[in-house]
Amino acid sequence: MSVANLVPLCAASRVNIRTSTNFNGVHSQFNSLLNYKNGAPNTQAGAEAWCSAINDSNQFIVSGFDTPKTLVAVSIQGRGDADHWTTSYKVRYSLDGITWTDYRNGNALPGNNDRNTVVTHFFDQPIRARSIAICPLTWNNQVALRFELYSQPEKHSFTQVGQGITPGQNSALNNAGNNEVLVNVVFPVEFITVPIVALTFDHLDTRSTNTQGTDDFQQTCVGVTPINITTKGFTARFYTWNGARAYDLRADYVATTLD
Amino acid sequence: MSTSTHIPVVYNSLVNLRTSTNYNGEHSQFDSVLNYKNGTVGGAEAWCAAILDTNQYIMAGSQLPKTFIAVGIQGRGDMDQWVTSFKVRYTLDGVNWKEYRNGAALPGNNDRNTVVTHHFDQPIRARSIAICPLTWYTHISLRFELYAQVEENSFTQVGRVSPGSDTVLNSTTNTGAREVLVDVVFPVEFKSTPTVSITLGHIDTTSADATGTDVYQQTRVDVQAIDITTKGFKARFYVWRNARAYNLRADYVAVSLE
Repeated sequence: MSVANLVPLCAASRVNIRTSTNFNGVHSQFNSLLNYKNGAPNTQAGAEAWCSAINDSNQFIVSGFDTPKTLVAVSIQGRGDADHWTTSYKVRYSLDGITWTDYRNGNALPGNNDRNTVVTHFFDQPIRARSIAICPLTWNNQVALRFELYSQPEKHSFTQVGQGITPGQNSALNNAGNNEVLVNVVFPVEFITVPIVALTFDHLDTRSTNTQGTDDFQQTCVGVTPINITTKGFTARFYTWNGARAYDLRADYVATTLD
Repeated sequence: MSTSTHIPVVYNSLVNLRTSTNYNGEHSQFDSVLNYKNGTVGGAEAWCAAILDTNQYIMAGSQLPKTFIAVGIQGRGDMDQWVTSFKVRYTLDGVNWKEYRNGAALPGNNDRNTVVTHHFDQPIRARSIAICPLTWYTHISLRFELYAQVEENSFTQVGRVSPGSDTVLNSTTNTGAREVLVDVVFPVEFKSTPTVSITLGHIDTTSADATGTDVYQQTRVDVQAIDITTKGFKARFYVWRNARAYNLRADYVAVSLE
């Protein structure tokens, strides 16, 4: 399995990162990205890893995000400028922010045995979470690691709805033949990109024109469709045809963008 | 009031934290979560400001609005430093900032470890919220938490579907209950199975029976979403008795929540 086509969340700065403890201000989550290099130990820039202040099995580095992500894999790596690495760890996560779950019931996952080899673990099933913690269990010399989280790409939707769009009573639609009435609709707020619009009926008051025993006189021929859709609004086209007449109609819309 | 059914956003790493100033790299927002302890190495057990005046703050922000129910505040764990009173400021749109209770001072701490929790008069809906110390003992130092309501996110997709014109739904010889099933594939796959609303926007119907009975004036048409998965569903167009549908168009709205 490959991490190609997955989103590297830490590299993309898409996560908040909190740690149990930091050895000091230059051994923090700022230095925790996979393959992080800063010239250490020949600079003031600190460790090439997150390093905890306390070495016990209560340490963790937790990543969080506003909307749930589907996490496919985690990569872990040792410290780049000293022989410190995490040899085994467990993963915990939460979707609702209240309940935390231990991945594989808290079983240890294999970590690192050297400074730079990246060890990647693909989750048995993708993990759907808003927060996910890496919890070192055993280590060489000092709890230290660099890491990455890989998620599926995911779209975001923005939706607006509107009610009560009507051509008005006894409009041009209340006659036989091909008729249309156009009604302009303005969205409550302007969309960022042009939305897709669903527009359908919740009130029909129709009949036919012809009272003789022909096909025409039984027909219900009525429709509504959005045209000229922009980020600001659209035109609702109400239409009838053949022998149908609409005394009144009402439609609701749902407009959505994806990005 | 309890905070146990609310989300501790600092603990869960759901907010970005920015401070006015940090005493140094070991007295930063990284040390600011409630009950933070770090042993003898690793700096302060609190966020500590570099400047002691009433312009200091620690601010939490997130992309999506949150409904904050309460704030918890605590002193520094490894020294006698704490904030004795503070105010709260917040913004929902990111442009206009408001002062909670018009900037009135809220009671803070009087020791290192007792957590003082303030439940907001009304829940605060905000994308950014700042704790602004007003008075302090020895130094501006605090640990804190913000409690937010559990909130679902929704994801929506819309589209349209039609059975096509002059299908079995329009038959004059095959009357009675008839259906046409149309496969619909969502533009992108949902992460969990959505709820689907499907309704009609184009109706072209008549009756089969040309004789003068009641049945022959009736409009009987139905559309439903069945076999819904994360990838799509089947639109079931259905007529019955003597009804005929020359064509139909339905629009759907599919929404997932988590």
